[in-house]
Amino acid sequence: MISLDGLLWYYIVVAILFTITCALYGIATRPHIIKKLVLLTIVSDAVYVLLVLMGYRIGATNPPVVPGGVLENPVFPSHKTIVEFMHKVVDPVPQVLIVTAIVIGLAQFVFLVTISMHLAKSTGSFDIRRIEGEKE
Amino acid sequence: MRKSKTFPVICLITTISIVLILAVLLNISGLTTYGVNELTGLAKLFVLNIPDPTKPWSSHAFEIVTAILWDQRGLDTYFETSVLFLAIVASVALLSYYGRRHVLEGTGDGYTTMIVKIVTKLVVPIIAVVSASIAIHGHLTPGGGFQGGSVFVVAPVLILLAYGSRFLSSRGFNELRLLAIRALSVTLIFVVGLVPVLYFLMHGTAYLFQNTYKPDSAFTYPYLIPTPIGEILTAGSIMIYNILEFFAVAAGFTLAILLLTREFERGEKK
Repeated sequence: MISLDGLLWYYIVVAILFTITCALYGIATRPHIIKKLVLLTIVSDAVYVLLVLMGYRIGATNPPVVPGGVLENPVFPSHKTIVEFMHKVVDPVPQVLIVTAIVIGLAQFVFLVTISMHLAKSTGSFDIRRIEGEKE
Repeated sequence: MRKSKTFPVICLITTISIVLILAVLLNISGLTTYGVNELTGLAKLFVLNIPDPTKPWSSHAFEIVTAILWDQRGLDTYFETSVLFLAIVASVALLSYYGRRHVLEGTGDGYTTMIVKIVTKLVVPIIAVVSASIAIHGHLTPGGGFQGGSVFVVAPVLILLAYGSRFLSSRGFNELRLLAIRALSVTLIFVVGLVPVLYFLMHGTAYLFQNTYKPDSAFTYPYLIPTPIGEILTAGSIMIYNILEFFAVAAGFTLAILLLTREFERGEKK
């Protein structure tokens, strides 16, 4: 028997995969470049959410930040505190990957926007069909 | 191919099969299985070592994500920053070239009403302060250089939308200065990572992008700096990296967005 929490979990996973499906389908079939770029960001954001979800642990209540961090006169936690903390923290490794992925994705997006803008200026259209000369 | 009526159907079948394969792989690997309550070995290693100053591989930082980014795998993050730098440089290279700079002066005066202008005036200083706080406290609270820089970029976007690009350029945010800040920050990050190597050449063992002391290396950046108001925790080089990365990301994206806005304003004028 699966619990309500488990049901909710798999509902979120299916919803994310459904979002990825819709966005990939849109990238393949929509002819407008800006729509393609928007859908590309939707795919990447869905993947980020999926990665964050993978880092969740049952009963985890804390982000991967040790409580008690102050700038002035900090008291470092003892080994016992850290072991206790380890049992209620989410996995930090996927979050590290996402921090990188978001910034690189943003840079890539800026580059793609620049190229599409030049394309639109030289051809007068954002429509792939018009750029390829299939439709007047 | 695009004209045929079967094309959308083929796309639909392909995307659904790709995502189904992804789902099956995720299920087999157990990454999305509900009920995992143990951290992986790697995550345990990070969580046990990073905040504990008695451990040999400690980073003396409270924020584990930032400590992994800049200490445990600092060289990786440096090259990620370089990728970001190259993407921005490529965009700038496509948008402007030497000799056309005077033509690229902004022409727009903003596209919005008084309400947006006043709200922008109120919100922009708050955004700047919050982003600086996120970057400076990167080793203590959630956040860091990347995050702070990304938050900061919202302020120039608001100004560009409300007042136009000429407002920003006339206040010293021109493209050469921004590119200089960007390049200087990335260079300084590398120099800070290179200091242990200089120590290695003169005294003894040290590692590239080393933060604090290690079992076989006495080299360490100061992680607790005594001041009149108490000891300030800098977590070694992590705070330096965070601040430099904040400037790098903020300047880089401001530059890209400034140039894109100018391009759009020029297109509008034609």
